Amino acid sequence: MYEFLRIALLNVFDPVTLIAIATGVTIGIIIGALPGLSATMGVSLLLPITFGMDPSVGIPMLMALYCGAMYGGSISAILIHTPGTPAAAATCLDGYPMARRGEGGIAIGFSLIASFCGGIFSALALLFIAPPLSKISLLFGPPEYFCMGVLGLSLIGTISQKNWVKGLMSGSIGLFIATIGMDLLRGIPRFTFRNLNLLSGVPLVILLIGLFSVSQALIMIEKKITENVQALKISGKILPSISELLKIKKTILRSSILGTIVGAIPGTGGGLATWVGYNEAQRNSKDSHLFGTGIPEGVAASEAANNAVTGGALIPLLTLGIPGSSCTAVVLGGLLVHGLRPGPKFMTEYGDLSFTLIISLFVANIFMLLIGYLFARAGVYITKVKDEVLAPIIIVLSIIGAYAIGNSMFDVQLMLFFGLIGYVMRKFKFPMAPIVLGCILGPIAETGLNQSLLISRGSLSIFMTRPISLILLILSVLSLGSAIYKDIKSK
Amino acid sequence: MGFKLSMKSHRIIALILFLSASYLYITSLSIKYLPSIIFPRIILMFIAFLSLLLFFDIGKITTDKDSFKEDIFVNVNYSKLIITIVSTIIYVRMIEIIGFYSSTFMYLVWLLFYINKKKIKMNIMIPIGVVTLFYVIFKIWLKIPTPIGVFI
Repeated sequence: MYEFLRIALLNVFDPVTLIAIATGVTIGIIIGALPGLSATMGVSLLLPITFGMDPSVGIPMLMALYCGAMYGGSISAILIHTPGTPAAAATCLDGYPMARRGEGGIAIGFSLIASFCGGIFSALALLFIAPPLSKISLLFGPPEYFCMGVLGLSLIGTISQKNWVKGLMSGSIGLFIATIGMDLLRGIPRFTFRNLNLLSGVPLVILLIGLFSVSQALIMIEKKITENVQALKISGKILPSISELLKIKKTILRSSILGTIVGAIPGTGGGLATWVGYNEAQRNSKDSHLFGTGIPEGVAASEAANNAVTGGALIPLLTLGIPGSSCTAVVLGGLLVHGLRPGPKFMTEYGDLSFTLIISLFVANIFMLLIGYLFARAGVYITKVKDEVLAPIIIVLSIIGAYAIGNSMFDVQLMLFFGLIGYVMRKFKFPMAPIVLGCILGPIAETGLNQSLLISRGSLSIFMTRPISLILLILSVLSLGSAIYKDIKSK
Repeated sequence: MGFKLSMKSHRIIALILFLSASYLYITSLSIKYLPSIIFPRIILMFIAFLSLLLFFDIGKITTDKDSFKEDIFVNVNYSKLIITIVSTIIYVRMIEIIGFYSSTFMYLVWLLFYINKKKIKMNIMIPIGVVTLFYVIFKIWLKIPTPIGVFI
């Protein structure tokens, strides 16, 4: 491990990598600050740029963008009461009232410091949890992989979804998309409709770019009435004092822990973390009645939680090969393009790259603090960019990204097809993240099932007789059952 | 013109999903080797089951109240949306004929003029700037291939 750490430090502190991380953070903050663009979209648009880079440069750049975007969303949340990303939704509640009182600068400052603390905490959690967890995951065999797929799907279909049927539907559609192409074990083509281009299946990156970027561009362009939004000015100091920060240290720590845990659960992400952090802070605060009126504690609670997702979401990715959020699903796509497959052996076979990713998170958060502070007052200009100007540019970037995967216009057409599907699904409130995770978990679950049945000669008891797989199955049933029960009870 | 996200629209989506799952299931019957097709068939049956739940709103457990309050297409400019989609399809076809950067420039100019009719300077300067930037980043710096046609 120490040898990997040494190589990782050399990789990260290489000038090229540092420039890449700084660039990623800057682009991330800009993308995050633009309402309508999400971190996932930003990462999927930047992905093609990393194809020509070494993975130890390109992948940290993507993670840096993720960190930057998670913080950047708070800028528009505070200045124009519109979250730049779904992860900044809770920040609006206290950030905007602070800005209206002329405290926009300090609100951004609290957001920046809290985001930094959340990001560093989750990077530390990643550093200390991932290596031992990867050793446990070496105990996983085919039955455990299948059960893990089932658990992942039950979680993504039910957690954070208002409608569990739509969540499961999205997950199932993702599972089905993963079956298109040649069967992994027997090489029999499935659902290719005699199209040779589909023999290798639907590339994950094509699906991601279509679902997240193109569909969002269509949503940005469709608006009949374009609101002329006036951003509030940033006046006064930016950075809070040490004493002001110490008053909310417990809130920041609690939110960081919660954000890391949420991030580690597949299918969740900043959107859930921000509300979990905010609600828990309000519940545990002496001044709970002041939440929503414009207090720094509210801003810090949501921002620490959403940035803590970044490291948390890498824990299942690096140890089990399952992304904790849709952003890390794109990172997974980036690794796959470079021929690297995250999973239980990833931290041993590619330990240098794993630790490079982990160390780069620390550096990205430091850059986020510096760049965020230096350009805090410029945030007001970013919010003025019009959706209708951005949307065509996003479509063009998506086309470059799709073409760059396999130099094929068929991939571009497929990407646009999924963009239309994504648009329709979003209009009818079907969640997107379960589709992506279904696509990733599908092959894991299917291969696990097939191999398990081969080992057990067709007996399903293999899933009940192995302790880890039994526990995973029980957790799946509990997760699904609790979601259904909660839904019935609320009606 | 608005389109309420009502029970009716949920039923339409549920029906489309059910019919799609059924069609794909029937397609899978041509694959004779059962171990290869059992997993996708289970998924398709599950999708069909979920779409029935959505269609009939069994026990009122499938719907969330927020969906029905919102008019999802009330602030939608249909012509803008359709023209953008059609323009994009034409643009993609043109890429292989004319070349990526040339067709991208024309696409951006056209779309920006369509959206922002009066801002002539911006509608020319932005495409020039964007295409130049993309050329420098993707062609010169990263050497990422793009389709070449008659022009670049």
